[in-house]
Amino acid sequence: MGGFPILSAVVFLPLIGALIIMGVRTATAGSFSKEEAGKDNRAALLAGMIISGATFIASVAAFLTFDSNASGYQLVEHYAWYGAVTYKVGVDGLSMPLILLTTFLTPICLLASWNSIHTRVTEYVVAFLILETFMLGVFAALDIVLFYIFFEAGLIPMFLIIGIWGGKEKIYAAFKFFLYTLLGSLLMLVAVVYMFQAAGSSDIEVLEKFAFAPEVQTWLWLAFAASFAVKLPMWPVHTWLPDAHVQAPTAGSVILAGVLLKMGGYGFLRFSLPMFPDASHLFQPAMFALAVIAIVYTSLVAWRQTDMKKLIAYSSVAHMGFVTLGIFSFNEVGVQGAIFQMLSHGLISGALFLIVGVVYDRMHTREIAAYGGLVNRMPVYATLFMLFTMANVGLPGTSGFIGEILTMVGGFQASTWAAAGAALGVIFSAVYMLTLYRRTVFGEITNPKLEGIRDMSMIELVCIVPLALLTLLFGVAPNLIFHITEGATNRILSLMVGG
Amino acid sequence: MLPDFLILFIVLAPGIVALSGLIHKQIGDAPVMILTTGTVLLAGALSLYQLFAYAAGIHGAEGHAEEVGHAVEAVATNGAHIITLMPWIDVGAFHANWAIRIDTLSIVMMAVITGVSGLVHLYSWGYMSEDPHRSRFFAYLSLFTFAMLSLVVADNFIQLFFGWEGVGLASYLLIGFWYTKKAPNDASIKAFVTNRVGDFGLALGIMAVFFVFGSVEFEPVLTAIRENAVVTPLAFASAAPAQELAIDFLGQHVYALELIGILLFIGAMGKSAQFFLHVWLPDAMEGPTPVSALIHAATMVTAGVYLVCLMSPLYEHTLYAAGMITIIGAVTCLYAATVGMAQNDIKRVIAYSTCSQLGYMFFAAGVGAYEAAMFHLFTHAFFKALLFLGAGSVIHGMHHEQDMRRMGGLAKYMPLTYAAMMIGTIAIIGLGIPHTLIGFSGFFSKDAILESAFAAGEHQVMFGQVAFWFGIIAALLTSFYSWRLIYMTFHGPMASAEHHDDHADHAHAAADDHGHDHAHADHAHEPHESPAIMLVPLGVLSLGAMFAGFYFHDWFVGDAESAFWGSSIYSAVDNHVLHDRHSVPEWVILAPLVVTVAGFLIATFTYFFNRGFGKRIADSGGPLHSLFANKWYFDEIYNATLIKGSAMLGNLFWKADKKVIDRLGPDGVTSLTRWSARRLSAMHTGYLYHYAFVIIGAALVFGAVMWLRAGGAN
Amino acid sequence: MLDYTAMILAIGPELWLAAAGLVGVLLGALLKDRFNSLSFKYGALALFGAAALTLVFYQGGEAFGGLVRTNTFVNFAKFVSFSVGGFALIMSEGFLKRHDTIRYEYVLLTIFASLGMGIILSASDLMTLYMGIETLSLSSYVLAAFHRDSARSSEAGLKYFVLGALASGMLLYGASLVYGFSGTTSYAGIFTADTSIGLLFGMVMMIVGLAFKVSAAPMHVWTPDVYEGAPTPVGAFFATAPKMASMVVFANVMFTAFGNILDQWQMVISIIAGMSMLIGSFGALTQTNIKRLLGYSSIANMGYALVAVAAGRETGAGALLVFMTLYVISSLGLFAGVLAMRRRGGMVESIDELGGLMSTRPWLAIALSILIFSIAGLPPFGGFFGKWEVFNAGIQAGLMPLAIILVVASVVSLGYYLRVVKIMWFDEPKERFEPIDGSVTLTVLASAFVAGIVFLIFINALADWANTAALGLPS
Repeated sequence: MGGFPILSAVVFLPLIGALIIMGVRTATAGSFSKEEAGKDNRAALLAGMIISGATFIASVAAFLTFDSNASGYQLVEHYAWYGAVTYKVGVDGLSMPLILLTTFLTPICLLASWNSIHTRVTEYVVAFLILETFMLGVFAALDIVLFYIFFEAGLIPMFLIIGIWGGKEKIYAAFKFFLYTLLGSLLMLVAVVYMFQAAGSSDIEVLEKFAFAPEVQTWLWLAFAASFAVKLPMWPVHTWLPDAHVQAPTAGSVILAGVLLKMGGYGFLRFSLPMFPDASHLFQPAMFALAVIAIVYTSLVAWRQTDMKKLIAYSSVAHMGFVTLGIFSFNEVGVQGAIFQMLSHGLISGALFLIVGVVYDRMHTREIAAYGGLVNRMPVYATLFMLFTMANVGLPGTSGFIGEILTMVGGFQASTWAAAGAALGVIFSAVYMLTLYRRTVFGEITNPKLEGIRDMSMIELVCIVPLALLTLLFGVAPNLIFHITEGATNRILSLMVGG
Repeated sequence: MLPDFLILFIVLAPGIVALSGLIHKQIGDAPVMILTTGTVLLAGALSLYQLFAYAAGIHGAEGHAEEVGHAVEAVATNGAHIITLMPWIDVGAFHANWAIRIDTLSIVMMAVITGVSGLVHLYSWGYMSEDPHRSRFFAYLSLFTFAMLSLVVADNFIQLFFGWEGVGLASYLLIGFWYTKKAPNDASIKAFVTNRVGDFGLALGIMAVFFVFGSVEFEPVLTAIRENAVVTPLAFASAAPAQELAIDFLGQHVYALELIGILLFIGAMGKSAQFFLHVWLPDAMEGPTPVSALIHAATMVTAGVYLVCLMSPLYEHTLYAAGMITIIGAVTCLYAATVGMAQNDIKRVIAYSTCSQLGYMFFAAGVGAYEAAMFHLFTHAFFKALLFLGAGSVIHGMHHEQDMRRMGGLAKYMPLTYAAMMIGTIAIIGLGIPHTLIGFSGFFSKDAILESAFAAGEHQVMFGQVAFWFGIIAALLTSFYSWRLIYMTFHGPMASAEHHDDHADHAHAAADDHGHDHAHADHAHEPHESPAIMLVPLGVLSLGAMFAGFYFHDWFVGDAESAFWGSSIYSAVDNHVLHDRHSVPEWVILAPLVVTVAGFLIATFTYFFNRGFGKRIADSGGPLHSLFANKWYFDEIYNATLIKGSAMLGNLFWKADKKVIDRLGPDGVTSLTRWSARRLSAMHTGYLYHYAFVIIGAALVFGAVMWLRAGGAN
Repeated sequence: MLDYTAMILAIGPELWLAAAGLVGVLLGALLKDRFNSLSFKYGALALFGAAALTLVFYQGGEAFGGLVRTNTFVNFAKFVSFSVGGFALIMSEGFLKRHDTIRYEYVLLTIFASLGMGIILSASDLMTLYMGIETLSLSSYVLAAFHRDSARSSEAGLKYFVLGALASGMLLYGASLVYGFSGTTSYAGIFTADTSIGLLFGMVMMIVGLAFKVSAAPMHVWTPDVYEGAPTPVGAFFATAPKMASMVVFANVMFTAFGNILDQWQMVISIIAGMSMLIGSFGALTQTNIKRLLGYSSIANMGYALVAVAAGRETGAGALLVFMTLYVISSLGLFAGVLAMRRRGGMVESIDELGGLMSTRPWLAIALSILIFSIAGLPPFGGFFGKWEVFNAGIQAGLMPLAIILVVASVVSLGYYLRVVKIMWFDEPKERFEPIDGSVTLTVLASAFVAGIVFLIFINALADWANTAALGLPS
């Protein structure tokens, strides 16, 4: 308190940057969305990267002042705003890694768009930067209304990103994404209003300690779950995700899978568990059932896909099932595993979407059948793809493994059925990922168009290699993360008991 | 024993040099090959030295106490020597380190792994000499070696799982090494996925271990089992001594140790290709032959046996889990042998043979003779690697021809290979003279297993008798198919001429697939002996196949057994199997020899003297032959049920996403909304009197509502 | 004797407007056509002056023996109504000029309509109320039909007139019933009167009449036709100033006259609110004309506002002011946007004509998008807090079903709001709109900035003001 508001700076730096880009563009070209010359396109992207890079550095600076051993909220900034609704931001071991993930992925997304986005580039950069602010706000907010504002505001830039730079069915996907998630969020809003009135405060720290009556908890929990389950997404409200992913541009998919989905898991951990412990216990079996269905069902569906992105999208649903499993195990191993799984999935699925984007940029199709034998022309690509395939499969040594095994170990303590079901999904994940890899990368080149395909460019490598290194680093030394998340996890679990 | 830094070198160096494969474009093939081969050979030499030194140290411990090194003492007295590298996972009670844990089991395994791996690296210089991707191949081999080593030196279940999956990855990469061809690709996925099915069990087993013992580290877990310590499971079960504890699992109330034992064994079944989960191993032969020798014969597939032996304290206190191991092992042993008889692909015969031999190891472990299981693992590594590399030499000489029906009379073209294969065959059938120490290595280990099984059966160990008899029958079949292989390949007339055109096409296809042209000239069809660099490993392995049993039996299963194994293998107080095997009836001791000779005679009769007899039986299409030749239709059954079933489910679910969830959910709601919106717009006719009617009607309705609320007419 | 001081304190702004109107008539008679263009500045001056006077006499007072009684609650509404009315007038000038219908009568009608708004807001007696409503309505009918050469405009005016007459009749009928059963026409008197079935029936009739004025369902039927048919500036005026005034009057009547029988009318208002939300949001889905779409949107939004009314005085009054203020600002901006839709000399009104606006006029597109999201109540724009206030009031009053309908209606309405955004952002660019008056552009940008962003950050100022104003209601 009292010092430089570093956290707000991190959150709003991208927004300010976006405004500056808009202003400069308007000043220099009259209006910033006219057909731009190539040079200007790149300038906007470069500016976006500089801003998001600066945000990343700022977030690292914030992290350096972060005390991993403390369990409460840190870097708290608290200002009056709207009566009992205040502007309050802060981080703990749960949100800090997610903030770093966001600031880390955003510059990568912009860089990955270097050669794939050619139209309305300034708008694209601006949308991404604004989205980044909203995503960071979600994780930093310590006031539930503030959280809600960021949470729902994120829909708008994402809607634009899918709708403007998306694929053929982009309109359907964008609307489905928006309205589906909106319905969930509005139900949450009803609960937020109720809680605000009951507790007389929207301060998350106050609400955490406020004991809601058990029967009230049930309703509030359901309202929150409506929002988070859609966002996570859980079966059966997952159907927006494959559409959104397939239609979104590569970077949109990366951010969607990498960060936006995490808001669901974050919400469960930040609100549902500590604030409605009784209801959480009540719904634990149902959540386990849905988690297992998500893992098994979507894994099987993933296997049958003919579209690369759709396959990975379904795989995302399955992997987020592990997050649900871990969260609702209510023990330290499971919850830490779930947080880790969120981060790990952010890296791995983000990278997989980039991997798909690499060939999509060259061939403009995502049909698996159009590929085959890529390794003959793209050995570097094949190597990285293999790494992330294995990470997605949960091979030990990659971060994917740590999240999966810990969530299952945690889940086993609560329900052997859930753990066994999840373990079943581990088999299927191998099936669909290896099938995908084999059909696209292995074999002879059968499609003549692939004959001249180029291997990865330097830009693409710069995007993906950091993700690869982190995937391996966190696979070998996950304690780097657990050290941060431990305090927050124990705090959440103690709130459940004390609650 | 070796100092820590050398142990570190053995374990880590192969992994580090494997990375050189990533930059082979920059540095060229040769440096990668030299680096990997040199490193692994060095590691092999060190590991073998370690084994010998350790064994010698045991004798020293009995005779000359001053020669015992520090580490030997650690291993022999404390059970294990642990080098902790760094913490890996620390979450609450869940601790796992990156560590190297050296006990007798890992000393043996390290020697086997690095020894065979070194030779296979060397061999591959010749075998893969013309492959354009050979540096990748060597990198994979080293990667495998690293993963396998990290498995056997793990000090916790998680690192074990790391190695376990790591070898699975290496196996996947190597089976699918020739990635342009369909069959290797299919086989590699099949191998990985089948292993994953096993890992399903293994992972659940690890979860159960953590649940029961609150730890995933070997020392506390195994100690708790040994000492029957009171353990408190993490949730819903009450504390009890480990051996009596029962927990709820999938709605069943089961003994914790039995449950853990069975789950871990399911993992072992997958990795070691045991019955039900064996289907991947024969297909894995699509990989280059050196891979088959290293991974699918000598090392990786034995990881399951290693796991069971490592968990000996657990299985000593389980009735059903051990019984399951015994019966699965026994059935595999017999089943694979029956299938092996009817195969024509030289590598598949050896693959089924591997499967069968693994069955021996498992039922030995199942009945409590872990030492015998490890001994067979050890000797098997030599002669099976030898057989595979010999077969590779044949295939290399035959220009990538693997069908034995197209071979014959090769003895004169490749005498050294022939000699090696003979030695391997004699070793695998376990020829030796009972009551003496004269015999090839298989003799010592296989007889130890059979005798142990019989002795166990006598003591009412579950399935002991079954295992013994299955083992005896399998020994007969082993002898038969091994000699059948020798006769079909090396004796009789050269059969390939009959299928000349056919063969030429085949060779073309194979050569093209390898990206280089083998069959550009007619003389290419002439079989030839392999180069020296391939023959040297054959020679070394031949020595092992001949003498490893004789040299090591005393330590592994003989008098020095308990000193040698120390506490790395645990026997319950009532387990005297290894001791009792010396008091089995004479016929039990003679039986293996009798059936071996019988198998030899049948093979000689049908494939040497009456060449074509076997083919006639095969062509007659008898049901038994069809059953064997078609691997008991396992692939077909799995394909029709599990794979088709999952695919159907997958399609069904996918359709459900669109047709049920979306239709009831967003799409349905959307169209319902649109429909109501259209109806609503239609109500806006634009006619004034409609509007007026609505307003007046609404007023009346509201009035009526108010009227009723106020009590109506009252 | 009349107490002039009290009179000025109570209805100073109305007196000013009445004077301004009469002077305007005089000026018109004197200057004839030369007054046409000047009259818009004059009218704006009159309205802004009235708004300023409202602030001067903000505390209000009582006059004419209790026929009028003003307080901060209604003065807040007056201020907002007069202000947005002034803006609506300013941005109308260009449109009328281009349509060659620029006449000072337009201004005078607006001033008199505003006077009507002032009177109904000041009313504390059914007589005053009816008088004001007729002043407002009659001016409005003429305004709707102002393009007398246009069939659509005339039809709109006629429809509005006939139905409005019907509604006025009902209001009058209800008022007479109330008078008959309570023996008084003053709000305060009705408040204390015994509840009888006749009184309730009269109240219902009055509710129907008032609901017509705010275009709440099912008395909304005129709205889409009139919005579409009336000249766009008239629509802009209808959608803003009278909406604010009528809704606050509605609340004022319910709170002040019938406040003690909340439980009797809460359900009726709830039904009206629920129907408005649903019909407004569903009805808009299939619209292709942007004015018609805005008409339905206003029906839905009046439904939201009525949730606050249904919540009762304590919880609803402040929320209503916040919500309505944000709504009318956004609404004004959106209509200004419609005014900007001019191509090849003519106005276009189909939503599809906005295609690719982001490429042709990015700032307009951004501003309109902000306005749309704000009016939809989507964070992070100020409109969210309007919806938040309504939600807050509804849930506090235990109106859970209404809150759920609100959720459903919000999602459905986002369906069509997003369609507009989609057309502006995703579709292929159409021909660029012709340049438009600075006042229109300024209104769009300013209202987007104010409703969308200023009131996001400084919502506390607005809410504090509104809540303090709501305290002025007699309890």
